[in-house]
Amino acid sequence: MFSVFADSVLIGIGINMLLALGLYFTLATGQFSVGHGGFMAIGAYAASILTVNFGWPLVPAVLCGGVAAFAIGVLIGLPVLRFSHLYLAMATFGFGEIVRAAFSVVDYVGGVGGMRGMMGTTAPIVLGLVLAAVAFSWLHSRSRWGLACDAIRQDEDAAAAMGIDVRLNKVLAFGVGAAITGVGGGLYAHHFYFIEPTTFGLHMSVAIILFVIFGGIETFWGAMLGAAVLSLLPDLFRFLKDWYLFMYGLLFVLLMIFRPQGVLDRAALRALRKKLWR
Amino acid sequence: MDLLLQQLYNGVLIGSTYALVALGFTLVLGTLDLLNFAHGETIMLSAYAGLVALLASGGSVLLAIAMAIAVGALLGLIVYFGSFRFVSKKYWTAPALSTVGIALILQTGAARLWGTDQRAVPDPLGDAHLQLGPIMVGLSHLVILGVTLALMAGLHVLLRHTRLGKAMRAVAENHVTAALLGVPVERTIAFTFLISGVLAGAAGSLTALVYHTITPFIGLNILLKGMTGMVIGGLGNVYGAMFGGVLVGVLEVLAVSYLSSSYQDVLVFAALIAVLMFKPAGLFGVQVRDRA
Repeated sequence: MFSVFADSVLIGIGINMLLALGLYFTLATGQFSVGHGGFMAIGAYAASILTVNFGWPLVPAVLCGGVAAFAIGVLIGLPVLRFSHLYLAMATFGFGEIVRAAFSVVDYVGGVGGMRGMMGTTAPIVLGLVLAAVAFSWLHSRSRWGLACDAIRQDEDAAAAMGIDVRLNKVLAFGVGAAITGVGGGLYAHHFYFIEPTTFGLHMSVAIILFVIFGGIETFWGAMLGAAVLSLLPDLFRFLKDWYLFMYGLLFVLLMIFRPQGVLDRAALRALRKKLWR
Repeated sequence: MDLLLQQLYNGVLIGSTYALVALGFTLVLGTLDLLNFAHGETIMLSAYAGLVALLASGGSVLLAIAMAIAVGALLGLIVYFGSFRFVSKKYWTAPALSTVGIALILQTGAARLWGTDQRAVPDPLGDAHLQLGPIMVGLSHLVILGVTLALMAGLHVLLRHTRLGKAMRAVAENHVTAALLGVPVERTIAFTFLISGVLAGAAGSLTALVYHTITPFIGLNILLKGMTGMVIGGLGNVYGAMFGGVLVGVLEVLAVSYLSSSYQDVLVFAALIAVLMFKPAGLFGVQVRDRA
């Protein structure tokens, strides 16, 4: 379709968008996760086991990886979503580390050495899944469920008083987010042909958080924008070489001082919509 | 039995440095509800500063520790100004994310300054050791345990018996009320970061002494162990953090010697999840306070 380079850049952006959208669903109910690398790992390993060991085609395998991440997400969400912010951050962090540590002692998936043998993925497959996820997010933001999530984010007690089942909505949103991140993980595994447990540690979870926070935590377009921009940065700022991460860190320190809600918030989105539609 | 005793002792030794990590982390968390992700890199950078002082002074351990503590305190203040003072408190994610940015800056800076290779940390006290029954106690171990105990005792006195400590506890309980009662809140918060940095600096130099090597990438792993110790002991609970850190060290050493080194992390984080599931307030937590 495009040149190999453009294809690979597009696939990278698409995968990061899926990872970021997955975390957005958790943030949309006012919750937080420092363990999304764990869901990515579950999706990646589940999909890779299906394609490599059972010869499944890519798309159903990746979707099954998403289902596996959903199941684990709901299972983990039920106990941990009781916690308030800091405990939740610690619990999800612990979950992510457990997943990483667990995959590194299971010999069936190669242990610490990692797993290989996946065949590649293509841009149309990735972009198709991204479009599906965007359509779902858009429908979610306009549905009763999306409104319920928004109410929970703004004030849990008030939402409960209005008759919204806070626990059910939170857990379901957490599970759906885990599923989308899991699908992203499955595609990641097939894009890089190789996965190892350390790929999905705290670094990955933090990278996913940075995507969403950079773009903006108020709308799912923020997560999309953050993933796209931050995926392109390494290519655009290649001249910084070894100082790249230094500037990346500085960027976030300054961003949090001047625009703590991220680049794209609701007000910016509204202004943008007015401009485009007129 | 002798082996077990020696392993338990080694666990306590490593665990005491984790306890310092947990203490510094929990101090900022308990006072400000801020997850300071730059804490690990503060530890790493102070360890390098300590190494530089150690080599420059021709092997003075105490000078190295003092240098590491000074650099740690300075970095604590940098984190305060960069990630807290001027960052909006409206979004609770903002200061925490900002500390991730500082962590990246510090790690990349150290990697450029000293290279990404492992650096050996010479032990000027050498192999000198005491034999206490079945347990072998190195001279450097005495320094490590001594400094750790001195800092813990110092922190206890500071928090319980000084005006500053009282102000810190008041700010931890409620910023607004503390300000209304005349506590200089911002200055107290700056001091909290400073003291957290002092603990990080000490932890950095002592970890370097325990492991004999440092790289620019040790920060995260040390921080993870400290955070785990903190959660096991009870979030924001200073005395729980001391015990939790030691417990993590012991668990880790036992996992390595009786299972295999790959189970080291599994066991530690399984303990973390188990505590969160069944006793979310930590082993010594009195209650789970809602920290929204």
